[in-house]
Amino acid sequence: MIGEAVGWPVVASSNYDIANKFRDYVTDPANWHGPDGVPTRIFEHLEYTVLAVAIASAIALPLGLLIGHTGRAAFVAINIGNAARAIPTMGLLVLAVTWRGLGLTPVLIALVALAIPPILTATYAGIQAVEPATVNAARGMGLNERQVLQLVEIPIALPLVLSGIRSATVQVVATATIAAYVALGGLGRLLIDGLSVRDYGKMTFGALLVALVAIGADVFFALIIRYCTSPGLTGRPTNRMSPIPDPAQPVGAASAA
Amino acid sequence: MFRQRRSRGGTYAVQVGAIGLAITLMSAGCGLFGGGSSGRDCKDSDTNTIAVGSGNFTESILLGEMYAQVLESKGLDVTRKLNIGNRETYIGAIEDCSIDLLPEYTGNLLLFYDPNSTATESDPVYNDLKAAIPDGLEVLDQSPAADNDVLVVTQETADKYNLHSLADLAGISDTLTVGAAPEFKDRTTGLVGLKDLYGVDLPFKPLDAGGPLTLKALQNGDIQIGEFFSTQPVIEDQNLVVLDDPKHLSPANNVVPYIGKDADTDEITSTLNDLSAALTSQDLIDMVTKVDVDKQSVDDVAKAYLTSKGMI
Repeated sequence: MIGEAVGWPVVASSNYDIANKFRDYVTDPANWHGPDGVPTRIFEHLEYTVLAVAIASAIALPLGLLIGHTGRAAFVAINIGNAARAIPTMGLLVLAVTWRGLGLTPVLIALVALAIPPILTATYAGIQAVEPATVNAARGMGLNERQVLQLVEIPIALPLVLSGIRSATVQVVATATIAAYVALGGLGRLLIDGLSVRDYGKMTFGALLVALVAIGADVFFALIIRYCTSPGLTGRPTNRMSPIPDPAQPVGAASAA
Repeated sequence: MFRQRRSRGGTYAVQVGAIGLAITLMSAGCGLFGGGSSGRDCKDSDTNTIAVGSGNFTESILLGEMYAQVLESKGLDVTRKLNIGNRETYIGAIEDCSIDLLPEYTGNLLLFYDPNSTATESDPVYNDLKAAIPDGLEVLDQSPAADNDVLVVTQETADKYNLHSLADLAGISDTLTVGAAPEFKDRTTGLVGLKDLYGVDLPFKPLDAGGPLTLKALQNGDIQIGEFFSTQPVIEDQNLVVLDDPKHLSPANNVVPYIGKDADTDEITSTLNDLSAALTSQDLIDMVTKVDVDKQSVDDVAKAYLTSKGMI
């Protein structure tokens, strides 16, 4: 109806009305503001995602660094982490609701459990993969264990660690729709409320938004990884890389050349 | 190494997006066949066997099994395709001729075909339903047995506010939160009707009507009023109080056989109508309790009931 007014093409089919419903939903200004509006839903979705990934990072990063650096308990931790990937998030959510009641807590429990394994395994793998020769050289230079971790292992492992957080984030974005199942908001509301009245246009728009947010989060992390990676690791020539100082020339001459 | 990882991450996001879209389009596909007005047109339908389907919950499976058993007792060749899924799915199956017969509920089936329907009493719902269902399909006589949507409170809440009926909510309503299926929010059979009929405006949480979340939320006090189905054994088990609905907020949901016209015969019609006439709501409660609580098999419970009524 509104679509016709703004000149969107009306798909003529009595049976197949998803395109029309989609257009009606997107063009109805009532869907774009207020506590049930699309911007609110996107904001809620991002809120659940950021909280879940932050909590998961706070747990998995130190653990991953510790077992990656010491090599202790790696077998147990990594296998528990990988086994945890098999936990059905929806089942965990319902279990958490029966334990804690409705609210944000059960949703975060489910999403954090989803986000921990990729962060933990990536952090462990990143630290573990640092050349032993490099680590030994750092020790040989007199760095203590903490310094070895901070100054050598973490910078070298950083791209892999961040890629773990990145894949955790994309998974959480895609899964945070379950919050709507337990009476919270987020983009899952469009899916669940749409399904309940068979408004497939609304559902399609919800799924599209989830996909866009997931891609947005992925691109965001791609940029972060690009700018956080130590130039020494990328192997690409950049003008940010400082040239090796030549004692024979005064500083500044290299860039002038 | 870095570049490789980056491209893998990018592909992953695209995959997630694609899966999300695919799921929606698949659900939408069910809607394409299930919700439209295309109806049923079974040219190559095998008229000698009748395929009985059902929804994926105990009562529907029980009713489907009972339909199958009474028809078999008349010498008909029956195929069971019970426990299919939700309404979107099994309506798709009866419209595309994969099944011929289903147990349905008048009110919810009417709302499926006409989401804006406002009829709530038994006969108007049944009459509107007959007009709303698509070509090639028909409903037989409705049974007095019904599985209505009911709003319940805990015994504690009922005592505290002296609640017996939805009419008693006037004046105290804003202190109580109702948890129900998501569609409750915008339907005349939900919040809209509560306001129009009973003058109460309740805070709302979208949950799983009659499911574990609603029960837990009710017991935890996250909600005070929950949506259940009148034949659920849990209502008696947990000592829940069903609020009367004197102004007919919830649509009547009488059990009704839903069948493809091409598959129906006079014998099938009369057999199923006899069964519907004999069946009561209490029978449904008793049978669902035997299956869900006492863990008896659906076959045995259906057979025992039909035998006791002399129908097989």
